Amino acid sequence: MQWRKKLPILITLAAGIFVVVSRFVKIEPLPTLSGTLDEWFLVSAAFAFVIGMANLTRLHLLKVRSRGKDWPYSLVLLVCLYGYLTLGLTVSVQGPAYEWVYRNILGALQGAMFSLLAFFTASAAYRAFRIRSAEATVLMITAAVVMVGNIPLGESIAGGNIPGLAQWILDVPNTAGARGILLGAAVGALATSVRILLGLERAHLGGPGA
Amino acid sequence: MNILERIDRRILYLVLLLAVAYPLLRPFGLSVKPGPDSKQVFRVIDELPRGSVVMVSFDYDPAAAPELDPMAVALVRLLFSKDLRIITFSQPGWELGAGQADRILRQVAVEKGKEYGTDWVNLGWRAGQSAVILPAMSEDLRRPMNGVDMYGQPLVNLKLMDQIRKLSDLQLIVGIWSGTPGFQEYISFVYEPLKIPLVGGTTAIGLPVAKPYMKAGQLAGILGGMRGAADIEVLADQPGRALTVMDAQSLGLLVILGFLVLGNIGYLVTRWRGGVKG
Repeated sequence: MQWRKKLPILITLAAGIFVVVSRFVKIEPLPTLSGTLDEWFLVSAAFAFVIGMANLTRLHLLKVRSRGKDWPYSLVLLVCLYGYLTLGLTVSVQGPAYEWVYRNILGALQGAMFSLLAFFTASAAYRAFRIRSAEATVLMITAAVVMVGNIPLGESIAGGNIPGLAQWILDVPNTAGARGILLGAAVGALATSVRILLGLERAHLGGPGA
Repeated sequence: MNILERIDRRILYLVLLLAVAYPLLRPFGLSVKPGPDSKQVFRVIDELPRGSVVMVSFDYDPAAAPELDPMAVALVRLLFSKDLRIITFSQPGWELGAGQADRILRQVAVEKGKEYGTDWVNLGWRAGQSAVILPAMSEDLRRPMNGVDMYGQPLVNLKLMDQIRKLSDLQLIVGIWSGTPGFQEYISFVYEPLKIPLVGGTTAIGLPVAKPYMKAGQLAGILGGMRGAADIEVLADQPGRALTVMDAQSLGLLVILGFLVLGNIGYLVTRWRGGVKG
């Protein structure tokens, strides 16, 4: 059964190296083959949705049948999934019914969830931003300056100096810090990619001990 | 512990709700002075010749719509006002972005008297990864779209698509981004190989991450959240929802600042009392 472990690693290695090389070497048949590989990927990705939907249906149907924990939520999920799918297929995505559901149910629910962040952020800021140390004081002052600098009321109260300072904080210290984080993440991503290509990182293959 | 340090969060929520709701019902009409980043985005769009074709990438879903819809509307209004033509697309992962594009483009196209197929086209969304789709679109725009638009119409039947065969035929890409995939994918797979100018906007929380890319010149301009949208409305002289909402945002942030100050006064009083006792 050794091949079951080795074959996916070999496929990953071959496909990965081929795609990387074809980005740099534009000599036929590499670009054509790379294009074909891209098309295979698009077809696979589209088909993954069908598999995902089938798996989701199976899991939630089992839960509803066995009256498992919170089974009514599974029922709601199945009704929404197939109801919206049927609507899209029958009245098309341009239909008023489809648009109504999108705007008044999906949009309203997702928007409401996202909007709650404002309240949680306000509560978290109130409890966390205490001037316990020099670093905490700098953090709080910076947050206050950026907040005031970005609102018209703040400009009216504090004049042009605060917006200028807020812009400087975003342009200079923020950019410097963000660049460091981004460069570190990029090096990490590169290292992980090489590990995957060499078969040292196997989490993407799934299963125990992958 | 001082009472100012432990104000019930429900009181904070209520005050914040009132502070945000009141200006929405009775706007103050605070004046907005556009910032340098917003002016840069406006300048890039303003300098495009009339009739140029621009791609607008709707990379967000209804969750971020309350913050990003006003920006999308302001940018689309500006583009149509300058007689630019628009192709919309949503990166893989933002399947609901195509719906946002459909809704906003239809609304603004009616306002500005623009026609589908001639002045704008919605390419919709495709499953996959941006690392594959965007390079494929750079070679041939139609192939990854299977030759059809969002509504299943063949792209060969749409007049606007006669001139646009691949991404390099575009004069500008405008993105409205709320996460990943977003501007980083466009920088890696479109800007760097093709050097097509890239501007756009993100949620306010995404702005600090976008700043280094703007400083490096990879993003020609970037807008941040509702403030960015309000700036564009002022610069384009087309007041809209963002300017109204800025009043609510102003008061909401001032309430948060007020609670920060109260919490810290309470903290200092407690520390001072502790110091006296000690």
